[in-house]
Amino acid sequence: MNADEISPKTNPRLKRIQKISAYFRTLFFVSALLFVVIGVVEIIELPILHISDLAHSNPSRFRDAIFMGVSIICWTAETWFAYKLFFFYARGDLFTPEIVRYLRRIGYVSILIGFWSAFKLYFLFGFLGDNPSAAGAIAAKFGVILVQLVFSIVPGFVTIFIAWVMDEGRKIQEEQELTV
Amino acid sequence: MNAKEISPKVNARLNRIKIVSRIARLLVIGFLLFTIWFLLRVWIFQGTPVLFDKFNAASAKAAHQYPLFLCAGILSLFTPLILCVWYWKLAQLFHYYERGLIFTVKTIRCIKFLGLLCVINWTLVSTRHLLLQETGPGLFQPSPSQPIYRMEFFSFDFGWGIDFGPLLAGAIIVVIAWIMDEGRKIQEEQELTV
Repeated sequence: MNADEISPKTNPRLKRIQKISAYFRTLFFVSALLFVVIGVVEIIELPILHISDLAHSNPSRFRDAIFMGVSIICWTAETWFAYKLFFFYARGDLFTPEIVRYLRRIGYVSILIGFWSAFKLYFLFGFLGDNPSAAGAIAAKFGVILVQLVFSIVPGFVTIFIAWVMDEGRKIQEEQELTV
Repeated sequence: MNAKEISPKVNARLNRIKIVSRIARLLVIGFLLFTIWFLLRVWIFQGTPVLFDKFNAASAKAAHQYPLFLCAGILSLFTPLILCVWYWKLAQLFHYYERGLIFTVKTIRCIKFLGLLCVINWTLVSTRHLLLQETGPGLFQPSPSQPIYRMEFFSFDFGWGIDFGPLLAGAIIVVIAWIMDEGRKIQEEQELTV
């Protein structure tokens, strides 16, 4: 057998990867489209419905609409990058720079989502609105926000880290192949 | 240069991975300790977990829903435990990277386990949510100081109060780990092909 030839065992493996990746690619493509549609509806709805809420001293509904809008933008970006990631997997590219790039982008967006969810929690607790008298209550609320922040941004950092290690591993293998 | 010798460039890359992995491992252990401290602080100094609260228990008994209440209480205890195991496995993953094991079986198994933990966590949180819905609204009053543990990686809530995002995130982690494993096997087989 020639060194460049693909072994008979390898081909079914690659086909299996491509088949499952294609399912995920479709799922994320549909999800991204759905988020775009929901986002457009939200954008159209926002000035019509919620500006009047703001005018009628009901800022919480307006605030919720803004929160939802930003979250939808982040989820659209994330699902789109996941679609692109599985697009390359479905093409049979396993350890390429494109895979690393999209993994990294998913990581960046999930960090953004993590900060955004902690920010939302900050508002939901009414830090700006009320004036909690006990220092212990503030510390407890701050603790919950911190735990939520850590819990939400850690997956993003881990994704970026794994992408970086994959990239380095790929470069190491390339360099080893070139070493004679 | 011998074929088995490691080039200086590769050595520098491996060293960089080891240093960054060590820092990441220490940070994750720090997060783990912080989470344990925070949970103990909430449970010991601010009373028992919300679902084991005496007032809530009395309300559940009065409504003849004590078994459901107990199940939901036990499930709510497992969620922070899973978070701690998640951090522990993450520290283990960084430990493997620190040892220079990048695309090995151990590393991939560890990533797969992290994904499975996300799926298990989602199952527990959703079951708890359904049990609480079963007991009727307004029976339990959650305290604002109780941690939420909602990982907003993806969010797919179809209005049922159950977010399918964490389930999808867990499934993706498992699939990516599986693809890495298959890629590793393909490379091994290619190396053996003459």
